[in-house]
Order: sequence, then C-alpha cells, then structure tokens
Amino acid sequence: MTMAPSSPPPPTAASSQQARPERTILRVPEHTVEVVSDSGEGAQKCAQIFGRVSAKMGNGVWTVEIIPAEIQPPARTPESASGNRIRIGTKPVTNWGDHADVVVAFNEQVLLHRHRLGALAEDAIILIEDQWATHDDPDIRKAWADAMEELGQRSYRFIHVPMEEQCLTVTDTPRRGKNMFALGLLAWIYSRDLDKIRELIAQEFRKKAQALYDSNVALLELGHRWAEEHLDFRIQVPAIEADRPRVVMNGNQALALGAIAAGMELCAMYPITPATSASHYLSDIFERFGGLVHQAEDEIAAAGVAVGASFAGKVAFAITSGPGLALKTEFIGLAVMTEIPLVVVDVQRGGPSTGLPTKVEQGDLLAALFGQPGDAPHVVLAPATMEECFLSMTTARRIAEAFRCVVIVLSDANLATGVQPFPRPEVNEQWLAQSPDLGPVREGLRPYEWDPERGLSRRVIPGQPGGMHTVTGLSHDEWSHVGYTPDVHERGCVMRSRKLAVFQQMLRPPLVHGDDAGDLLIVGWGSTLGAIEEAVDRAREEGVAVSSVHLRFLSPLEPGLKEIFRRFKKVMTVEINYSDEPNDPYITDENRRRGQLCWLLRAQTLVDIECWTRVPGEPLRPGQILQAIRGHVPQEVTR
Amino acid sequence: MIDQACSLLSCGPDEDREWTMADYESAAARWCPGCGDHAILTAAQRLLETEQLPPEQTVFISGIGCASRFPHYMNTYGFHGIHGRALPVAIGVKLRRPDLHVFVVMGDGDCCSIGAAHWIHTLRYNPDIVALLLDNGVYGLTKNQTSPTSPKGKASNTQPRGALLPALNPLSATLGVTNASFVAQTGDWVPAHLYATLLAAYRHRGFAFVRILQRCPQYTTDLFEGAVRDPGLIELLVHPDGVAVSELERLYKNQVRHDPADLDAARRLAEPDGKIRLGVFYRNDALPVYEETRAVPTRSHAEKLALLNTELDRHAV
Amino acid sequence: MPSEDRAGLALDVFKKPIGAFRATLAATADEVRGYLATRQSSWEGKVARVSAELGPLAIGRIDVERFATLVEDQPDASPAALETLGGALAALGDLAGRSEQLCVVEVPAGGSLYEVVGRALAEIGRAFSAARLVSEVRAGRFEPAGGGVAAGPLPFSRWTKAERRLAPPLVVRVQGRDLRAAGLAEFLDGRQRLVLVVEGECAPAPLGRLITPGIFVLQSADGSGLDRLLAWDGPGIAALVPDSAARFAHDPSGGAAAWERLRIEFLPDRAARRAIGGLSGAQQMEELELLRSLATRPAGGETRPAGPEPADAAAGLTAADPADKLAAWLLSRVDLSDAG
Ligand SMILES: Cc1ncc(C[n+]2csc(CCOP(=O)(O)OP(=O)(O)O)c2C)c(N)n1
Ligand code: SF4
Ligand SMILES: [Mg+2]
Repeated sequence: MTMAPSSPPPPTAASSQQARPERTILRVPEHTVEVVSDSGEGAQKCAQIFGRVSAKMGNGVWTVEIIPAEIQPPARTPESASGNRIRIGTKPVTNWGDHADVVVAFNEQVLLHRHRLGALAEDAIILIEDQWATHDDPDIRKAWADAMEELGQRSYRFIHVPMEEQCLTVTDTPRRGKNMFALGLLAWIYSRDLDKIRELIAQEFRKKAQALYDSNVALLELGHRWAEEHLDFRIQVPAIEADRPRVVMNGNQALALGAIAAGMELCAMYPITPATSASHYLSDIFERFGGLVHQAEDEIAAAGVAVGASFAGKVAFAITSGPGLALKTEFIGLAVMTEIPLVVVDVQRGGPSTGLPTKVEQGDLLAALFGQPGDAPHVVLAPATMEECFLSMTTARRIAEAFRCVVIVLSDANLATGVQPFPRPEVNEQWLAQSPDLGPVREGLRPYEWDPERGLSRRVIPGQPGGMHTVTGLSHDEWSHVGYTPDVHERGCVMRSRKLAVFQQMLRPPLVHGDDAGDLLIVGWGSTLGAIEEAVDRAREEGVAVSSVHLRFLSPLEPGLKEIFRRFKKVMTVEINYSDEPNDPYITDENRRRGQLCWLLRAQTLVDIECWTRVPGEPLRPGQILQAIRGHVPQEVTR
Repeated sequence: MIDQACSLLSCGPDEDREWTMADYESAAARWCPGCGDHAILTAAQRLLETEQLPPEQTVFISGIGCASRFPHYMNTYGFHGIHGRALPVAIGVKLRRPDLHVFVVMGDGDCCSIGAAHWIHTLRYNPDIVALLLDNGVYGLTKNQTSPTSPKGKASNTQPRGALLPALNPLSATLGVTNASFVAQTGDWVPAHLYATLLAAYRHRGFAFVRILQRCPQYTTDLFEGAVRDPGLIELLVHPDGVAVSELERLYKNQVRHDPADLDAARRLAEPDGKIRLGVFYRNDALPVYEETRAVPTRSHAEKLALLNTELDRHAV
Repeated sequence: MPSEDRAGLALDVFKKPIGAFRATLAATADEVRGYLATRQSSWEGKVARVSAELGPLAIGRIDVERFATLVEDQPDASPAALETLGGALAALGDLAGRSEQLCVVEVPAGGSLYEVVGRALAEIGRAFSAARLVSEVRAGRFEPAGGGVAAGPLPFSRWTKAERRLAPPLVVRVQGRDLRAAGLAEFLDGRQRLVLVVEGECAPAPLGRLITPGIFVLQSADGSGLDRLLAWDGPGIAALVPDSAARFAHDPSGGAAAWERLRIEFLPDRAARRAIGGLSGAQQMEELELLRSLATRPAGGETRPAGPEPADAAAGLTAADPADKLAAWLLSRVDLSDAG
C-alpha cells in the first residue's frame, strides 16, 4: 500500500512498512455499523451482504436503509447519502438502535449528513475515504476541511483509508468497487466468514459475468488484507448457533412470500414507494406459483381489479402506500358494502400528500380505519416484525373470507426495507386458500342470507348454477335488491357492523410486556415493537415501573384494554405520527391533536391517555423512547 | 383458446340445457317509459339466447347511472359497482375467470368522464369482454347535467346556457388508442342493427367496444329524434366482416361499404360530419388478448409448497 | 422420422394443453381433498384445521375454538358418499400421475382405430366421472344405492359441452393399413384434438372425408401445421403421414368458403391400385378428387355468408357452399360399419 505523497500519515492506520499494529479486541453484546456513500456507489449492497453474513453466522440482525430522495442526487452532498445501518447482536435484534458505533463513509459530506442527524455515537469509529483531503480540486479540499472542523466537535475516532487508491490496483472503476473493499474492511473488523461472503457475492452476481464476480471478490479480499495490515482493533459480537433454521429478508419480501403462502392468486398494484419492492419481487416469482401481478393504470383500477377477481371467487390483494390508499377508498367502501373479501396492504410512508415517499411514518391508521365515507366496518391488522409481515397475509386472507370483509394490513417503510432474520416458516398446505365451491346453489338461497345475530352469510360466486344475483353498492336487502327504506338500510348497517363485534369477541387480550401493573404503560403498534420493548427493558433496569402492550388488531380493537389500562397510573402511546406538543404555543388540552392510536384509544376506552409521537422520517430510537419514558413516569413516583 | 387449467368442479355447467329468453329476464326494468335502455336490454337478452350462454356463466358489470342499472334486470350474475369503475372490475373477473362471459354496461359519464382512464387502458389490455356505452349525451340519473358527449350548446342544469365545449367523440377517441380491436356504433331505435352489432361484438375475440346511441326522452329528447324520423340522416357501414342486416338496407338507403380491417378509413368515418354512421368501424381479431397473455397454469398445493420451500431456501441463513 | 420421434414431436407441440389438463386434475384433486377434510373431521379436527388455516399469527391472539364456530357445518355425508369421494380423489390422483401417457395410445396391428380412441377418451373421461360424483355429493344430490360409487370410464358421447372443451389432445400411433378415420368424426367436437402418427403406407388422403367447415384437418409429413391446430379454438384432427400421402391443411379460420380454408401442399398423382385402410383404389381416387374440388375457387362471385362458428360444426352441414355440401354428403355416405 502506498500513501499519496502529500497526504499526512493517517492518525491511526499504520503504514505497511511497519509491523502489524497491536490489537485491542473489543467484546460487545451488540454493535451498530453504518455504511454511507453517494447514491450509486453501492453502500447498500455492501451493508446488505454484511447483514446477511452476520445472520448466517448466527447473530441477531436488524438493518435499515438510508435512502436519498432522488435517484441521482448530486455527488458529495449531504442529500446524496445512501447506505444502511446494520445493528448486530448476540441476541435477536429488534430495532435499529440508537447510534452507529462504526461507520464506513465514502466521503465527508455523506458522513456530515449522518452526523447532523445525530446518528453517530459520541465515540464512533469512522473509516473514511481520504482521497478528498488531497484532491486536485481546491473546492473539494476546502469542503473536506470545513467538514472535518464541524465533525471535530465530537470525539469521533477517524481512520483514513485510501479506498480509491487501493481499489485502483484491482479495477479501473473504483467508484463501483469501493463497496466490496469496504465490505472487506468490515469483514475483518467483525471476523466475518469470508467463504460465506463469497457465496453471497456469487448469489448476487448469479445472472452476471464471472469476471464481475472475480473482481468483486478481489476487492473484498483487498479490503480484508488492508484492514489486517493497518487496523489496531477488532470487534467481537459473539453469535449463538440458532436452534431453528432461519431465513432473512425484508418486510416487503416477507409480505410477498406471505401472500403466496396464503394462496393468493392475484396482486393488483400501481407503483408507489415503499410498497413497490414487494410487487417487484412478486413479479419475479409469482407466475411460477400460478399467480400474477397486474400493474393497473392507477390505484383505483388496481383496487377494482382485486375486487373483481375476488368477486369471481379468486383470492386477490392490492398493495399500496398512503396516497394510493386514499384513491382506493371508494372501492374499499364498495367491497364492504357488497361483502366481497379483500385484502389491502398499505406500506405506510410519511404524509400527508406525497409527503416523505421513502421514509417511515405511522400516519395512515385513522385513514385506514375511517377513511371511507359512511359506515364501513372492516378489519385493520398491523404486523410488527418481518416475520409477522409474512404471517399476516395468511391470517388476513382467512379472516376476509370467513367474514366476507375487507382486511387492511398496515406495514410501513421501516418494516418494508428493514432486514431481520426470523425462524423459517414451516409452510403448511392449510394456509393455501381452498378453491370455492362452485356447485349449484340451494334453491331459494339469498345472496346475503345474514345470520340475524352474527351478520354472517354464505358467499355465492359467479359460475354457481341457480345463484344468479347482482351485487350492488347501493343499500340492499338479503336478496341484494336495492332498497332505500329505513329498515333495509339500517338492517344492512347492523349486519355489516355485527360481523366486527363477533370477530372482536374472538380476539384475545394482548400480552403485557413487563409487569401486569405499574406506573406507566406504553401502548404501541406496528414496526415500533422492538424499539419500545428495548426502551421499556432499559427503563425497568433503571427501576422504572413501566410496561408495554403492542396491538396487532386495530379494528376491531383487541379486548380487555380498559382492564389493562386500569392497572397503570398512566398510559401513553408511542407512535411515529404527528401530535401537538402539549406545551407548544396555542396548544391546550382541549385543542391538542394527538397521536392516532391515542385518539382511537381515548375514544374507545374513555381513559385519559397521553401520547409521545415523533415524525422524524426515520424509525424511533430506543434511547429516545427511554427518555420519553423517564419524562412521563408519573411525578409522585419518581420523586 | 385458453390452455389454462381450472378445477373440473368449476369448469362450467354440468348439463347441456337449452336456455330461453325467459331464463335471462329478471326484475322489471325501471327506466323511464320510452328510454332507449329498454331496447338494449332486450337485444342483450336475445344475444344471450342466441349464443346459449348459461346465465350462471355470464356476468354483467356496470358503474353508476341509469344505464348502469342494467345488471339488475338480467338474470345473470351482476356487479353494479361505483361510478366509472366498471372496467377494472371486469378485468379482475376476466383475468382469473376466463371461463365467464363478461359484459360491461356504462353510461357516457361513466365511461367518457370519470372512468376515462379505465376506458383507454382497457382498450390497451384488450381483454375478451364486450363493453356497451349507452350514450344519451347527458347525465340521466343525477338529473340532467352536461356530459362529455353532450352536443355543444345543449342546456343542462350545470351549463344552463348550453354546453360549453364541443362534444367528445367516443369513436374517434377509441380508434385512437393502440390495441383497440373492435369499435362499433349502433342505435337503440334500430333493434335489428343493435342486435346484429351485439352479436358481432360478442363473437369478436378481444375487447369489443360498442357505442349505442341511446334516447333519453327525459333530458335529451331531441338528440337523436331527427335520425329516428329521417333514415336519410343515417349511413350504414356494410361489409361481410362487419354487420350486415339485409332487411335494413331497404329503409336505410345511405350505405358505405367499409372494410373494418381498414383503420385509416375507420378513423375518417368516425369524424363528425353531420352523418350518423352505424356499423362496425374497426375490427382486428388478431390482437393478443390480455387474459391469454397473462394465463398462468394452476399449481397444485403440493407444487406450491415445494416451490415455496425452494424460495425460502434462497433466504435461508 | 420413426413414429416414436413423431409421437414425441406431437406431444411437444401440445405440451401446453396437456400440461394444463394435468394441472386441472391436480387442482381438482386438491379441491376434493380439502372438501373431504371438511367432511371427515370431528370438532377437534375442525378446530385444529381452522387453527392451521389462520396461521401462527393467530396463536394467542385469536380464540380458535370460537373462530371454528364460523365454519359452516356441512350436512353430514353418508359413509357411501365419503367412500365415493375417496374413490374420486384416487381416480383423479391416478390420472394426474399418469401424466403424458394418458394422452398417447397405440392401435395394435390390425386393431380398430375407432375403438382405441374411444377407449382412451373414455379413460380420460374418468376424470369427468369423478368430478361429477364430487359435485353430486357436494350438492347433496348423491343417492347411493348401497356402497360407494366408483368413478368409471366415461365415453365421449356422454361428455358435456364443457368437458369436450377441456379434454387434452390425444396422440394415436397407428399402422397405415389400420387407418380408418371416418368413424373418428364422432369425437371431433368441442375442442377435442386428435393427432394420428401413421406408420407405414396409408391411403393418400385418409382424413379427406373429415373435412367440414368447423373442423381443423391436417395431413402433414413433418409436423408442420400442428402449431396452427394447437391455436385453433375448436375440434381438429391431424395425421402425420408418410411422404407418399397428400399434405394439406383445412383451417376453419381461413374463411367461409372451402377454398379459403383448404390449402393443399401436395397431392400424389395417383393413388395406389390396391385397397388400403379398407378403401379400394377407386375410393382413394375419390378422396383425392374431393380434396381437389374443395380447394378450387369457384368461378364468379365471392359472396361471403357470416363466418363459421367453431362451436357448431354441425351447422356447417347445411352450409351453402357446394363443396361443403359435397363433403357433407360424402361423410353421410361413409361406411361406419367398422367403427364398432
Ligand atoms: C364518485 C361519484 N361521483 C358522482 C356520482 C354521481 N353520479 C351518479 S350517476 C352520474 C352520472 C350518470 O351519467 P351517465 O354515466 O351518463 O349515465 P346515465 O345516467 O346517463 O345513464 C353521476 C355524476 C357518483 N355516484 N359517484
Ligand atoms: S332519465 Fe333518461 S336515461 Fe335515465 S331512465 Fe329516464 S330516459 Fe332513461
Ligand atoms: Mg348518460
């Protein structure tokens, strides 16, 4: 290795002429790594492989994508920051943690971005590409110097790495190869299994040329060697051999595979981030399973196609994000009215309007519940992990069919793009939907032969002799005949609503994480599960009497909540959606707009529930929640 | 022509039986007396009888409007959905149940205004569906508002001093869309032509779009009155590949021989020039049909499970 | 090309419909299996099934026993009905397991082509028998006299319209001298397609008499044209014949008049003198003459009645075209005595 002549010796990397440095070995239960580059430099690929190999080696893993808003943002700008955070642990990891402990940065600007967001630990070790310090362009040298000054306010430890220069020894296009070099660095630091990494690279380049694989592996090995020769520390995050086979994937892949495992036959969609990647994956594999993805002309049409297929007896779902959910509203109402089973997945992003297309928010809860004009009772289900993304599709489909109802599945950008290993699902023939009985219909069967108590009725499907009828979005009686009289309309409303009550009585109360009673109860839903429980555990270690519950069914709400709430002095929701801060100007208890689950729970339980919500466009950090817990424990107790 | 597997338990009627007109009749139609929709309903029922379509294998799908009441009056399966959105529903049905005979009935508001996107894109998909546009040049159900096909100057409740814009021409619009495969026009007051057109539309392989000039004695009394009284205002497009109704040829003296394979001629004939042309403007049976393009073989449960496990292997750690 | 290879070629062309039929059998078997499960299970069984159907996410979250009360109790099937369902399932599984071999048969030397085809189709028809039995049980219309009823072979004549469109193509290996095709007209309905792989010399135009407006008829030496038979949405028959025989394709989608539909690629100058396939030399000449006349464009007008519909091939018998009339007449005069 040669250093650029004008470059000052890197502060902590020894040059190759010297003997290998003394090494400190840091043994930790968990560690968080970030890889950030300009968009298009492949930091994401590097981080994904690092995450996967860690999962393969038995570590708990959670990865979160750092996504720029544009496809080609200008290089070397904070906006261009692209990459991943990977948190690995000895035990399962359930969220992205608080701060990055080790960072590999391809330039100082993208690093600055992470720094300004407060993403880096006070003593983070930063491996940074050092070509910019001595760049020919004085503007770049200046930018570097300014950035270093700003970064110097913290006690980060910098390690300058001549990434480009090193990569040039193997490839002519170092900009495209640095990511593998960086992977080599990390592989050495964390003692990752190189053979397993080579396998993953091979998978990655399955469809490409051998030469590409070779140069990637060469770069990997180069990075590994460089680290071995220059770094004075290694980090050990012991892994535990898993007792069950595991799979690793992101929440959208899990949803897509879950839809197949649920026997779905049609996915109707219109491209929208962050839902699209699920349909990309499905488009790739669904036809092999006898299913297909229909890309409609818009979200309304996508909903219509799903409703049509479902009306015809096939199991279909639509997948979208907030703006698309808004467009599907009328069809969802129609499916409720006609009692056509339908699963709609909403992978939430920041709103309102186009909002934050690539970033997480839990802002669609009330829209999902109440978005449809009129009374449109339906089920809303929110998976909390990647595994639950997979499993929720089967459950949702089965509920939709049993109750002839709509089920909205609320995922979010955090689940969609985050990667986590989970026990390999033991796929079961019973999960696959049964074909509907297209036999002749019993004489005199009404298309809505409502069980007067439960509102349930048997579906009649086109093709069934003797079952001919016309479903309608107009108010109708058991014969599906249009009727506007009070008795017809009210009866229809009662029957559709009753199904939800019946289902609610089949639900079990949620489990309380922590003690059954105490000072503070945190209530959450969706992707915040891991961060909330980690914060609660940390607070409990500090002696705070805090517990949490996490809801999966938001409509109908899980039973027994009031009973659970009563056992705590204070109840507070933690959510990623907007609420007014109680102390802000003009905000009073009367006009304060609260978090969405909070609003719902207050209405349903008449308990004076508090909320702590944030809309940072990124997942909540357990440390933040911990502070909120400390700040909200009822005063007389802490005093 | 569908080599797509289904279940033998749902492959259609298990007996051969003969269907009569009465088998297709349902509730008494509740359109205004003299409304052109009545004649269209009868023609559709005749078509089903001629083709002996089993009622349980037939689905009528509509939006909202007077026209969209249609499915309620057919003793087939029906889907009376939401305004403008009949076509996506129909695609959903046909895509996964190609065994069903699918008909769509729309008003001009349904098809050409609120549902215009679906109209254009369904033409592109070209599913094997018959779509009937019941064009009365007005919003009937909501009581007389201007529609995209209202002639310029026609007063309505929303444009009382007369429709502000020239009418949209559904034929030209349709003929302008890539993949349009069957475009015809007929009128509710010429039952023989109406029936023959529906028959040709049904027998066409692909998306058959039929604009039916429909009289609304309630709100657009005079729209087609001239043409009804004076056959001289009408020009029949005749060709062996289109519709040929010999008994009409005596009454309607104006005829042009138009080969429906000729798209350029079809586009010319569709341009408004004072004549009302009835017949098949364009027909191309060779275009790929969406549900066939997308046909996927059914997988048995065992196969699905095996494939799922293979796929999970790819994510295994 | 040896007949093995040509049979393979035909199978290859018809891979898609054959695969679709096999998938149909498998899908039907799944459906019957699921249905049978709902019939046989006790309360505990039902709870276990519902629990499995809801998947692991429901564990601890949904009271599965309560959920199971939603699942409609079907009227209990009698033991005979259950036995019948079991039998139907076995038949479907058996047929699905035989895969391609279900669609290939051979006429033993000196055997009757008509009988072999009839028997093979009846065997495929077992699937329809099975499905019908299941439908009967499911509709509560099953009235067993005693024990269960087995899904037996179902001759083509008893297939419904829908069934005639569903059945897979059949590839038949036959000696040229046993090729008596006239009787096969009976099987050409719906979307049934037959491919005869002929070994040894045969009459020059053994399929000529099967030409009617709605039936695709092909004689080919190398398999060309089979793809069009595959695409044709109606009944059809093809023979892969030796080079000495006529080669032609009668494609109903070609037009309304016989000359528009029939394309002759090769006609032998003269037929053999000796009888072959039960046809005298004179009869063989007659067949060639028929082909020639059908393919000839009549002088004068080119009026075109409405196009033929594949579904009503029989309607073609009344067609106005003189050549069609002739074909219909010839067909009606054919001696079916060897057709069993
Ligand atoms: C989303 C929506 N917007 C508006 C309406 C009100 N609406 C019902 S029918 C209709 C227009 C009907 O006109 P057309 O489609 O031409 O049918 P016609 O009644 O003339 O047969 C309108 C605007 C509605 N039902 N839904
Ligand atoms: S308002 Fe017009 S279109 Fe509607 S039913 Fe009456 S006549 Fe027919
Ligand atoms: Mg109208």
